[in-house]
Amino acid sequence: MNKKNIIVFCPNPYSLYTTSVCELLLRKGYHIECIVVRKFTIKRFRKEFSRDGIRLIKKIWNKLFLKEKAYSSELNSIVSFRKENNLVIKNINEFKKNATKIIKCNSLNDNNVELLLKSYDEKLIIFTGGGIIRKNILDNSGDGIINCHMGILPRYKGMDLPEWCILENEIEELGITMHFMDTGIDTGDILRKIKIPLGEHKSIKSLRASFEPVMASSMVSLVDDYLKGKVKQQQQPLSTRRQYFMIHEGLYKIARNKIKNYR
Amino acid sequence: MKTKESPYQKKYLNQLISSNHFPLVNAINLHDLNTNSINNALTKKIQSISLIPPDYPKFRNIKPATIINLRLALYLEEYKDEVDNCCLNLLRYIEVNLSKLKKNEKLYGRSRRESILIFQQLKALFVEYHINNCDLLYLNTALKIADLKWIKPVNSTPNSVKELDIIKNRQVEYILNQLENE
Repeated sequence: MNKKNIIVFCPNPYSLYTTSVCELLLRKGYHIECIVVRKFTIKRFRKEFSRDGIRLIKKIWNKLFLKEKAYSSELNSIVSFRKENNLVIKNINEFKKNATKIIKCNSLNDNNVELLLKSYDEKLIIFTGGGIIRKNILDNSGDGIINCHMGILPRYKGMDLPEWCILENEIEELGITMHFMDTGIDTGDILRKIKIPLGEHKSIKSLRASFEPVMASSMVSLVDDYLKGKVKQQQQPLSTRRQYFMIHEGLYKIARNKIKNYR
Repeated sequence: MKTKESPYQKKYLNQLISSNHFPLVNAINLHDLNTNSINNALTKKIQSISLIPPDYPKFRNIKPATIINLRLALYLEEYKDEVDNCCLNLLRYIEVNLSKLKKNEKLYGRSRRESILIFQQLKALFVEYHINNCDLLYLNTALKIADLKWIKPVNSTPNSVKELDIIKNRQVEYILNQLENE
C-alpha cells in the first residue's frame, strides 16, 4: 500500500497508547515493519527516578501493574476508546504474528537501534514514548520521527502542559500537537494541532486521561494522511516558543483546585 | 574554563558581598508585598548604586554577588533584557540539572557555605522575578530550590542569609495563598 517502512518507538511492552496506535494502523492496511521497545532496567529506573521522583512510582504502578484498571473511574479514556473500537492487543509481542519485528533495547539511542534504522531506506518512525532521541537516531530517521506532544506548540513546550494551561488560565490552549522531532525539545516542524476542550472534567487526572484516545486516533489519521501526501509541515516560529518544566507539588495543588472552578 | 571578569567587575562584586551594599539588599528582602514599597530613604540609597550590566557566566563561575547584582538590577528595572536573559539561563540550568545540583556544586569546588549563599540568593531572585513579571515558571523553580535540604541555612550561615531564607519562604507562602484564592 505504501512504500515507506513504518517503525514504532515504544516505552514499554504494555503501553496501551502504543498498542492502540499499532492495531489501528494494521486495520488501515499498513504493515508495521518493526517495533523498538525500551527494556525496563535498574539503570533506567534510577535515571528516571532522579528526574521524576515519586511520580515515577505512581506511573509504574499505573502503567505496568494496574494497566487498564488505572482508568476504571475515567469515562473518556484510552480504555473506553479501546472498547468502542474493539481494540484487543494488550502486549507489543502480539504483533509478531503480523510479521512485525520486535527489537528490545536499553535506550532508543543505542547503536543497535541506529544500525537497524540504517538497514531501511524509506522509513517513517512513530514515537509513542521512551525518552529523548539523540542525533545519531534523528540522522537516520528517514522522513523523520513523529511525536504527539501534549500541548499546543509553539507556545507550550516541555512538560505538564495541561496543568500549566490551567494555572495560566489558558484553557483554550489545551490540546495536542503532532510534530517531527529534532535535536531541540518540542522544536521540530509542526504537522497538525488539535485543541481539546476542557469539557466536563473535574480533575487533572481525568483531563489527562481524555487526551490519550485523541492522541491515538489523531496519530493514526495523521500517519495515514502523511503517507498519502496530504500533510504539510510547518516550521515553528522562534518568538512564541516557551519551555515549561515539571510542575511543583505546590502549584499542582492550585491547578487541581482551579480546574473545579471552571465548571 | 573561567570567564574573565574585568578588574572593575571583580572589585564591584567583591564590594557588593562584603560592604554596606549588603544591608541595602536586605532592604529589598523586606520589600513589602502588600504595599509594594520599601522605606523611601533606603530606596534612594539603592537607586544611588551604579550597577554593572548583568551577564551570565557559566554556572560554575557564579558568585553570590553575581546574583545580588541581578536582584538589584531587577529591583531598579535596569538592564531589563540582560536581566531577563540571565534569569532564563539560570532557570534552565536549575531545572535541567535539578537532580544533580548538589553533585555539580562539589564538582565546581564550591564550599557548602558558598553553595548555600548562591542557592538562597537564587531562590530570592526567582521569587522577585515572579513578583515583577507574574511568571509562574520562576515561582515553580523557586519552590523546587526551597525543597532542597542541603541549601537550608546552617549555624555558620550569615544571619542576613538566614533572614533572607525566612522572608522568601513567607513571600512564597503569601503568593501561593493569593493564587489559591484567585
